[in-house]
Amino acid sequence: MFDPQVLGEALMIIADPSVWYQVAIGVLIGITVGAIPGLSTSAGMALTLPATLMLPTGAAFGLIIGVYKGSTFGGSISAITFATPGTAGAAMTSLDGYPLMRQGKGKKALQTALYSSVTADVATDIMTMMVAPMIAVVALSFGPGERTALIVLAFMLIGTLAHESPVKGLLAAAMGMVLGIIGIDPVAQASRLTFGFYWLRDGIDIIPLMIGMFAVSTMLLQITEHKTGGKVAEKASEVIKKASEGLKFHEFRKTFKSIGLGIGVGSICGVLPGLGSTAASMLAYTLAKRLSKNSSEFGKGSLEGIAAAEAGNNATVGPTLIPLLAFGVPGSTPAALIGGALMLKGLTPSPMLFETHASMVVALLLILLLANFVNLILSSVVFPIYARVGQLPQQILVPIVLLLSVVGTYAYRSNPYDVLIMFLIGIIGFLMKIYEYPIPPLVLAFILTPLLEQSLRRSLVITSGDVAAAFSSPLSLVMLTAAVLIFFLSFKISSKMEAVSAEAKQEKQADKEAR
Amino acid sequence: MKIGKVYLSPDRVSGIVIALLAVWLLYISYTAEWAFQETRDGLSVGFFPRITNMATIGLALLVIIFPAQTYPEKLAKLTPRGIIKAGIGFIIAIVFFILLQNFGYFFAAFPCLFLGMFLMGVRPWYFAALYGAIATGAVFALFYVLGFPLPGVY
Repeated sequence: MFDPQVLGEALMIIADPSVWYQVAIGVLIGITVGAIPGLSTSAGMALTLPATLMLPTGAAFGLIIGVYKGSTFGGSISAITFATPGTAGAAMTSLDGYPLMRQGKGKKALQTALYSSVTADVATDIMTMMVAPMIAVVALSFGPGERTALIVLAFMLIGTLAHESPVKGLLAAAMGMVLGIIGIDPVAQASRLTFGFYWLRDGIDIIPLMIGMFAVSTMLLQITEHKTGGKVAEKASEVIKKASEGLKFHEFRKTFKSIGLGIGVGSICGVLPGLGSTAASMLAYTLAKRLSKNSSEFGKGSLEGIAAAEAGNNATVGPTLIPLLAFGVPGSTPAALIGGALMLKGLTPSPMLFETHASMVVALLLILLLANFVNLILSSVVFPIYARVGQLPQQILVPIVLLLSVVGTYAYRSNPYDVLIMFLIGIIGFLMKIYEYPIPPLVLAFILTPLLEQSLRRSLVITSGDVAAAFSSPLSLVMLTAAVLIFFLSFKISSKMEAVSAEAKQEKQADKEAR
Repeated sequence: MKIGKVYLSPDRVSGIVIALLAVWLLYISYTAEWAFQETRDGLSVGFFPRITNMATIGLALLVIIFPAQTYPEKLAKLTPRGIIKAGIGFIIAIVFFILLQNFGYFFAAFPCLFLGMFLMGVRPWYFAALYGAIATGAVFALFYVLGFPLPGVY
């Protein structure tokens, strides 16, 4: 499996200084995006995606991965300094980070977040480098039938796990499928659902969809909510002033158990489609609290709490690429965006990629690993400054992001219809957000639909249209059965959870009335 | 909102809208000329649009029948003023795009950023102009660093 020639070629790719220049730029953009509440990792990655088209392949990987790494950590900066998580994955970090900040130990909290993030990132990236090629070998034995069943299973996981209401998650995925089939039929080469518009013949491009869904919709929502920042300027400045309150090694050593738990939980959540970093950080935090000797300190400024949440959050970064690289199936929005960057470079994610473009995949994995050290260095230097970025008022931020959305979409291939589609998708995304429909299932389904269609149609060609024969292999049957079980179980679990939450509300109300 | 004895919750409203759209698309995929074109695999071109829209209708019906018991928080917070402001922001973005195509980045970015920031509440007006100018330069610098050409610049 190990090929020295492939490694040599990959090293040649990453030896290009432009790769590291772009990683550094990406990390800085990522930290900025992460530190600003309201701008998600996905929005930051979507806005930088068009720029990857102009760059050499290695530099393009560097940029997009840099943004991913930077924003995953950057979310913790505003979570700790203002108790406002920059990204959803950093929500648990604020539980202990902000109390520490109020105790004048902001630097200690930020350093714990950074070191545990990078430790978890490095460990899981190494795991990804070892596991992904092995799974890809197994994935190569998958026929079109197994591949179709796998994508159906991924749909079910993404749809049911992404939201508390599995029906809404699945409905969002179904809408993504409808958007994904607009354009030319891959077999008959006939236009379908284009409504007579020639510019829809090529279908909806990934960049307007991503920017519309993640950036434009979020900004429209923020205009309606019109939040203002800047109230906690003094607290942010404490991070810079109190240089003596840094993290000591013996304190960091005490967090190793929590980091280990975060790595374990984050890896599993990263590999499974639909779970992602928010679930990982919540699970890691809860588990660390339960297993800690100092569980009473959790929520009051525990370093273990920060370490567990951040390790869990960051441990998903590498493993989320395993389904993408091994099966060509992105399990999360960032993975889909990295898949998008690969496709813009003519590298369609699939298990074959390890054979046809092995050096590129190895280079991607090496950049994934080495970007952690760039993140560590840059974040250590800039986090006191970036602690202030979160205070950027929405009045300034919103017009800039809307401008970036238009410029990014238009400049990428100078197609005005891309901008039109982005605006339309932005409105759909806005409506989805206010009616509480999850966006990731729609985006992932949009990307997976052409793969599903291709696999299903290939399997039907092989079996001369016999559906039963197409899915007769034991592996296909197991995956399809699992998909059906997930569908029904998710309803049962969600109705139970709804009942528990209603009961808790009633108890709270009764408690209030009794007082 | 209540119609007769049926309470139209936001979930039901969204479910009905999605279901109607999917029914329309399903109708197209059964009646359009392209839908009947046969392909090598024995399926017609309309096959995939049909099954995806059927799935959408089925799931939308489930949302209508079993709506969430809670009212969407963001929808509850939505005010007519907020919607108008979002609409204005959206129009400025469209105007920016039109100016961008005709006059290039600099002539489009600065006035739109200034106007956007001013309407979002940056006061006094010369602060909006200052921030607009800084943001115009910062976005240019970002694209320059990324090696990504801006329309009408270079």
